This record gives sequence, C-alpha cells and structure tokens, in this order.
Amino acid sequence: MDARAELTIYYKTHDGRMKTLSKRIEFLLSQRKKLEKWVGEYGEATLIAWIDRELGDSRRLEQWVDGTKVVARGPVLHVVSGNTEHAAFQSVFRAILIGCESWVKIPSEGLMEFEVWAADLDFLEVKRELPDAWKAPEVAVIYGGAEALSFFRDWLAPRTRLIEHGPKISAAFIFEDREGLETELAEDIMRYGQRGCLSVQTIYFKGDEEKFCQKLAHALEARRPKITATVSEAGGIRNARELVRFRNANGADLKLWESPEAVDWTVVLDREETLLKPGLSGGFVRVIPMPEELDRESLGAEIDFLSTAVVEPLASSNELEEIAPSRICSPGEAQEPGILWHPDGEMPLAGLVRWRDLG
Amino acid sequence: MTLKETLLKWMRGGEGDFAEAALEVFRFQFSENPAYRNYCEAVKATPDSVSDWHDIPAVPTDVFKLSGTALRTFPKDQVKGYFLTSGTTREVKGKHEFRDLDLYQASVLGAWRVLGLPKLKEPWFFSQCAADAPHSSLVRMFEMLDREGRWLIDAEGYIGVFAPEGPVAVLGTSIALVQACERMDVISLAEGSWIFETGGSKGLGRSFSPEQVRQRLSGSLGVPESKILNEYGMTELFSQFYKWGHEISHKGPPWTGIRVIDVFSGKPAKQGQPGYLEIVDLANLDTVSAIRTQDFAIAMGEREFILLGRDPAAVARGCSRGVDDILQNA
Repeated sequence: MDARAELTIYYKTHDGRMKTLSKRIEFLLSQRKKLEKWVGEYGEATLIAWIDRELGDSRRLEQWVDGTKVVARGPVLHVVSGNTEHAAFQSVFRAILIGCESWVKIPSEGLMEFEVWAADLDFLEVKRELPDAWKAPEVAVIYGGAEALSFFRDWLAPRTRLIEHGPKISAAFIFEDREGLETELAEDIMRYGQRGCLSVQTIYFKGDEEKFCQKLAHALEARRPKITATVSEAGGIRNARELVRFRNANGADLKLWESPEAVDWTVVLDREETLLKPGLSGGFVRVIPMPEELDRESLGAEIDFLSTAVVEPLASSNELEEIAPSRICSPGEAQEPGILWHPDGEMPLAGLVRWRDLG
Repeated sequence: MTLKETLLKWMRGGEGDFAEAALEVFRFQFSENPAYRNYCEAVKATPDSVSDWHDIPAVPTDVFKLSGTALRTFPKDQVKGYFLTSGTTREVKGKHEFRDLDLYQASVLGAWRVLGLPKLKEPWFFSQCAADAPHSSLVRMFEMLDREGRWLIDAEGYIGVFAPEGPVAVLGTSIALVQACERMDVISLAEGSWIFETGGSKGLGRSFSPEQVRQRLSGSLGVPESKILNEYGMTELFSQFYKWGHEISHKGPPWTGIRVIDVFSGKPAKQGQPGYLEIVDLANLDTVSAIRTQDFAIAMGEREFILLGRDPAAVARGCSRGVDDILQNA
C-alpha cells in the first residue's frame, strides 16, 4: 500500500480535524518518517514535555488547570521563504500539535518537499499565491527578509498578531582545531546554499588561521553536491573577491582562497576587522582570528542578529555568555536545530495560544 | 597636448579613437594612480600585457567606499571637492574625489550633443540646487545643463509650486518625480514638453519598475512615454547613458565603452547573454576609468546595452535615495 492510500485510510478512521491532543500527537507520530528529516527526532513523551514546558501543563489545551486554560489561536498564516524547507515544516508542525487551523503561503516558485507532504493533508491550506481571504488570520508567522516583513505588516489586518522571523546570521567560534572539524563546518556552511538563517557565514578561529583556511578550502571543494549560486549571488561573490584582491594589493591583511573558475566557494582570512557581517551566501565564508573578548564591541551591532553559534569544543560555550546567542551547537549540527528549539529566542508554542482565566 | 586636453577636445566636438584612447588612459592611470596600479599588478594586467581595452581591469564600485585608499591620479592637496553616493546614514557612502570638473562638464554636454538630446527650454528641476546638495553629482550635472532653471526642492526637502507655461523640460530623480506627481493634480504639459528621470526607484518602502515610473509620469503630466528620457549614471562615473521611453537600450557617448561579464565564469558574457555591466569611461581620467557596476545588462554594442536592473543582493541605492530620504523627512 502506498503512502497516499495509507493516509486516506488514516483520515477515514480518524477525525481529520484532530480535535484532541492525543489524536494530533498520534498523527504526528504517524508522520515521523517524513518529518524527522526536518524537525529532528521526537516521540510522544517529548512532545508532551515540550507543551508542559511552554504552557505549564499540556492538559490546559483541553481542560481547566489551576484556574487557567488555553485556546489554540487560529487561523494561523505561515509565510515561509524558499531558502530552506525547515521553517515550513517546523512552523506547521507546531501549529498541528497545538491544534491551530493553518494557512501556508509558500514561495511562488514552490517548496517541493513540503508541497508533496502537504498535498495529502486536507486540513492544511497551502498556496503559492496570496488570496485576499487570508488578510485577517489571528496569527501570522512570517519568515523572510526585511521587504517581506514590511509587506506583510502593511497587508495584514491590524488585529493579526505577528510573529516575525527576519533575516539572521550564524557563526562558528572555534577555540580548538581537531581532525574532521573542517568537514563538519563545510556542511554547516554549504547546506541549502548557505541561504538559511542557520548557515554559518563567519568563523572566529583560535590557532593557526592560515592552516585552518587551507583545510577548510579543501573541505569545501570536496563537499558534494556543489552549491548552484543564483546569478545575484554569483555577482556578489565576484565583486567581493575583487574587493578583497584590491584591498589586499593595497596593504590590507587579507588572504583569499577560491574555487577555480567558478563561484562554488570562497574563503577569506580577514585579519583587518572582527565585526560580524551578513554574508553573501553561495559558499562565501570569512575566517577571523578569535578576538580577545567576545562582546558587542568586538563583534559589532550585527550581533543582535546572531541566530546560531557553532562552538568547538562545546565546553567553551561559556566564552559566549557576553553575547548570549539564542542557540549554541556543535560543528555539523548548525542546520538541524530539532523541533524543541526556541527560534529567535522565543517560545514558539506559547505564541500560538490564547489564555483564559477562571475567577 | 596633454591627455586631458586631447580628451576635452574630443568631447567638445573633435575626433577621437576610443580603443586607442582607452589604452592611453589605462597607461596614465596605471602610472599615476598607485592604488589602481597595485590592483592591476595583483591581477597581472599591466600596460605591457594589456593591448585591448576589453582587458583593462575594472574595479567594483565598492572600491570608492574604502576609507584610507585614495583612488585618484593626483595628490591630496589638489583635491577640490568630492561627490558622495546616496544612501542612509548607516550605509558607507562611495566618494568620488576631483580636482576639477572640466571633463565631467565636457562629457555631460558632449554626450547631450552627440546623442542628439533636446535643448533645455524652461527647465524645472525637481531637485535641490548645488548649494544645498554640494556632494550630489546629479545636481551638479543639472546645473551644468542649465543654471537658470527653476529648482523645486528646498534645503529641507519641501517641494515648491510647479506652474509651467508652454513647452517645458522636467528633470528629477524617478522617486522625486513620482512623489511630486502623487501630491499634485493631473496636468497636461504643453506639446513639446519632455521629462528626464534617473536613479533607482527602489528604497524606503517604495518600489516601481521602470515601466511603472514611465506610466505614472506620463499619466500625471500628460507627456507621451516616448518623450520620457531615462538617464543611467552613477556617482563613480563622469559620463552617462540615455534611453527614450520607446527605446530598449541605453546609449553612451563615443568616449565610453561597455562590457558585460558572466558572473559565474568571470569572463565576458556571450552575445545576448546577461551579466554584470562594466563601463570604461574616459571622462574618469583622474580616478579609474574601468568600473564594474552592480547592474545586470545585455550588451547591444560597444557603448549600448539593455539594462536589466540592479542586482537585488546589492544594497538599495541610487540617486533616488538621496532625494527620497529628504522627501520622507519633510
């Protein structure tokens, strides 16, 4: 029996709207094979514990507990960008768990794997276009760039609660080199074309930076599949490389490694400044000697947009307490935050419910 | 005769050979502009190895943003002024220093002549005057075209009264003109009137395609789209390219050349293929002639191209931003 037929039987034997938490969890468990790639491993106990943590008690979704109860907000409009499919899967996963009705606006060019999965779910409305009927959801969870956020602030009804996930950057903080590290970092950089908020754009490195850059360059060259840069990314990379060459020729302490006759990857060793900056995508990474102090002064104002900090060894995480990134992980794990994380430092389930009080 | 005098003579109506002059300008800049020479040596392109103007190394416009790196062929004590690229206060601005504006003026007026652009009669500038915007290359260009025109935007960004009589020329940035049109009644300018618009139309929450800009201006001012002239220029260049509303490509004067670069290979794009636009502008004698823009284009000839638009990854910028900033604050 194929997956579609299995789902049809599932809906015939279950209430498609999945009004109870147990039914929703049962459904999510039935989807584990397809979803764990995007949300990480999960089981019933994990999901219950997650709700307990954010709502105090998972029973509140269905009954009064200590004088309070919660109601799933809805409809929830999920606006997801095209750079990675994680956001779409994770955002909708949370809404299903809480019991929110969901509308999903995917990019006009599509979101292949998500669309294939969602095609069988009659309780999800997924569209590439943006109908006027979607102007007044109770909540809108928006992933996208500054322009997209600005558009939806204007377009949506004033009563809609906005949960915005704007552009973010991620960086690695390497306090000790080790064998195989460069391969794991290559994955953190290159997966999804380096277009995601969780993609590493900058590496702060303690040790022999030049030797590390050479190893990283080899790892980036060896990694498959290659990134297919967009025309815009390729242009930006070409310009950035020439700018490095120009500065270098005029005395700046920079060094460049680049994919030959292509824009697949670029490593710039930058001993001129320690500021964190938005990256170019397309496999372009800056390596910066580790500053004495990791703080706002050395890393600059963009630190407010730091999403994930990849740290090696993980035991050195306390060195980052001054900048307090919202997520810390080991090399090779940047792109797999798992469903229980707090995107942009927020409790994602809490934003999907409305509280009621007795007395 | 010095190289500058030769170029001035050409721009003022004399004869010139672009391919030959471009190589001579390259030799001069290689010799007199140390920062550019260092770069050329790094990419192994020197006067000994470059024998075709297509191979003259181009610098990205971001090079003009580098503080501490002088991009000029003359010493600091000869700097008489500078133009700045527009942008918000947070953005680093590009700086184009000059010791005089002889070549700028000769190129502006020369292009106007050789491209057969109309004489400015009764011009209305939807712009500040040079005294209020001393670092705007566009405003200075307007002044070169006609000092006596009416300047409609004051130092604080307020738009004055537009009361044209008879055929007029209306000049301004795309955003300034569109905003002005939105604030006034629809009118129909007298036959023979025409519009000059320039600059990106993206930034500060407003975004119009070039077609939308033309339609809005045509609809608001009653001027046919074929009488709307689009200028392509930038602070980093002293020469400009022009296209009327009914045309598809921008054309430049004979002392400019263009190349289109395939962004994936870094090599010249095949015929008809899009890529980054590079411009070799001999009016830039005192800085660097070969500039790589962040605009996509398709080459149509040695100084003619179809402009596809600004790279979306580049920071929103363009002349419109300077005026747009002012109008937003007003």
